[in-house]
Amino acid sequence: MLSIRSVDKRFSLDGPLVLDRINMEVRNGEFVSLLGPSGCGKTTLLKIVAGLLPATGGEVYLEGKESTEPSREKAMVFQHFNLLPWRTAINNVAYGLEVQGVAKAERLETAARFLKLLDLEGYEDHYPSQISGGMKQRVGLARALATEPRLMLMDEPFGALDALTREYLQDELARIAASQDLTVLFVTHSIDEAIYLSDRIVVMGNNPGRILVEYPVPFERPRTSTVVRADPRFAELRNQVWVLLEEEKSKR
Amino acid sequence: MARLKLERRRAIFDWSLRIGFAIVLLVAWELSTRAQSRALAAPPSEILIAFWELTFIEGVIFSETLVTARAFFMGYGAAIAIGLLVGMLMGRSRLAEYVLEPYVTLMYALPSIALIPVLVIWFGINDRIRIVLVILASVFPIIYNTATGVKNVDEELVEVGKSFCATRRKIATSIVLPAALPLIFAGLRIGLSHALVGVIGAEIIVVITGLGGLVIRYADNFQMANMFVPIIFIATLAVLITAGMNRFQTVFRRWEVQDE
Amino acid sequence: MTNLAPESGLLARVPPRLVRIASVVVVVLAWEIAGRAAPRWASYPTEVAAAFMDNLDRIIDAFIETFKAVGVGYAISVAGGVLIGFGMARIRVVKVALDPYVAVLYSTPRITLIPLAILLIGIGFNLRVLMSVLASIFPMIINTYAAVDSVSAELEETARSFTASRWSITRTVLIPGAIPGIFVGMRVGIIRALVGVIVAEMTAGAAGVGALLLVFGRFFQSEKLFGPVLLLGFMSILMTRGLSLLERKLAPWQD
Repeated sequence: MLSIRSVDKRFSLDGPLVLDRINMEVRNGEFVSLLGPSGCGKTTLLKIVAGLLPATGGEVYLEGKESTEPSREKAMVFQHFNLLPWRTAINNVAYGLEVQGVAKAERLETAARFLKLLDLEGYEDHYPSQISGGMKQRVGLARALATEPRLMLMDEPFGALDALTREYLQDELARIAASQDLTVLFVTHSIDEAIYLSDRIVVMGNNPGRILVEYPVPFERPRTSTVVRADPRFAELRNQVWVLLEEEKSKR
Repeated sequence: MARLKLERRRAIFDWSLRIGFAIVLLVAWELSTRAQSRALAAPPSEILIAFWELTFIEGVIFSETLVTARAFFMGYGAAIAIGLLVGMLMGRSRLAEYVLEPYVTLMYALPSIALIPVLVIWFGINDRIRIVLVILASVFPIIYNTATGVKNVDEELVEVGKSFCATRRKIATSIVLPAALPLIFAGLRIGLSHALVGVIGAEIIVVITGLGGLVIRYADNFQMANMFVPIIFIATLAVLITAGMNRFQTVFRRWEVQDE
Repeated sequence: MTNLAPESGLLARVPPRLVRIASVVVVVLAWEIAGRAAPRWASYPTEVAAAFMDNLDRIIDAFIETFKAVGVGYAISVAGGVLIGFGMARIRVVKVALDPYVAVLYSTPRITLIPLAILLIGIGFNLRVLMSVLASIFPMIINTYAAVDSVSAELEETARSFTASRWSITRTVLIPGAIPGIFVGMRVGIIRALVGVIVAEMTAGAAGVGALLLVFGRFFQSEKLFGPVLLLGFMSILMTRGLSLLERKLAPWQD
């Protein structure tokens, strides 16, 4: 349903090539990770898909239609949460619906439902400054989910969290992705996270940012992280990706 | 390369816009004042002539600038010395803080111009009034900000000093003072603008001397074009002193600039 | 809170409020004793209080007159300053064109312009309003500009990702994000607006607190002078505190 066709990106007219002829697809219900070292352009690619940045060349299609602007079909989750500090949790979750013109009673009802889905009952009226980082990102997730997008775009959503919270939220996301039948494009630089969460991993390299290789992830769903990590295929895949990224590093 | 070119093009655009806008304003000013009596309005062309005469032929402006600048620097310098001292004392000693705080709060909030009649009773209509008013106008923001800065230094930084067995004096000079600098400079900047209002205010309202006095004298004689010349000098002086303070501040807080 | 010289024993057990009250009592008493010795210089508290009560009607009238001008001038400054500050932060052409004037006028004492202002609009109520606008609009502009400019670009991008329009970004991100900075400008501005009016009253006005102070001062009536001066100080404190309370109400998300 998402199709990225030979997307190029330069930040200025004769600046360096940041993304070089990116071609990839994400099917309905699929969870795809973009994995790569920092500076490989994975976040730039995600923002192009989101419609926050224009591509220099190439097109992005969503359900067969070209998609260059932000739209209701897409919703984004950010690394630094980007909650509005002046809105309570429930009003942050309702934010996307509000700018999309949903009536107040309806959007608050929807927001309450998604807060509940993310285990945030009782925190409706807390401001972001009053809750922990993990809870903030759950609000961020709920905000994106509440608009019921066809495509979720996630930019290292757990990158700013401590290790324990991170694993906890990974489980939570895996559970929700399965139960809500989400289509996700997920940016990360953690190999473990990519393997555990994804159906497919797209590995990107540096200078210019380009796709090196794609790996399908062989594990059945529903997964639990202990089972996945104990599987010998996990270590094998992890090692494969790691060697590839190391080689890419030494090339520079 | 392309970025450089883009920046240069942008700078050229900015300056043409600024200059163009300034020309429009000047022309509008010239046209709107040309037909009026010289006692009520001065077109820029005449101000330019007056500027030339007062500055380079009569030279009266420079001596008056010195008169104003002297009072300003004496008052502001004294305010800095007093302000830093009292501020540090209030920041370090809780007794001093509790005892002095009510007066600092009151005097900081009080418009210092309102003290002019009181000063006239104490000092007579006298040049010294300007220096006293400058001190009264600028010392309280310096005290307040220094005290707040010193008091709110991060306890963990002080513990670093203690862990290296630094003496109390060493901690004060190497940790507390630098950590309090941002707020101290905020106080100095607020104090600076209050001090300028103080010196010019005293010159215009009571003492009639220096650049402020010159403005009043020309205004009273209906010499409109002449009146703008000391105004231009006051603005220049104020801008230069403010820029000097900003410069001083970046020198003293190098590490913060590097952070960006 | 760091305390390099922790006060030992006694002070730790005495509540701060008590120390403050004691300090005020001591100073007032000292003033009373010293003032009685040289009353022409500094008067003394009981005489100041008596003079204040005797002249209460005049003082109240003068304060009402002054604060009418402050109110009008400050309202204009807040509205105009927020608008211009927003314009400068969001429209580059506006910023480039206005920047030099704002910077120069902000650092120049606007009291310099009073003879010019008198020539342009005379010495009535309008002069006092004009001086208070001139005094208070630049801190409003500069603080609003800085506040809007510092609203995180990431939050704007977030709003955009949820398909927010330009107007809804302004309403839901820029305005609430700028409120704390705007309040900084409002607190500075209210005092400046008062200074502007008093300056106008002292140079040209026949009315208001500034003119009253000049009258009392001219006849060396220090006992009458201190009452309204102190009242001005208390009013200033009250106004800034009031604005802080209002901010806490309008922007409760700040810690």
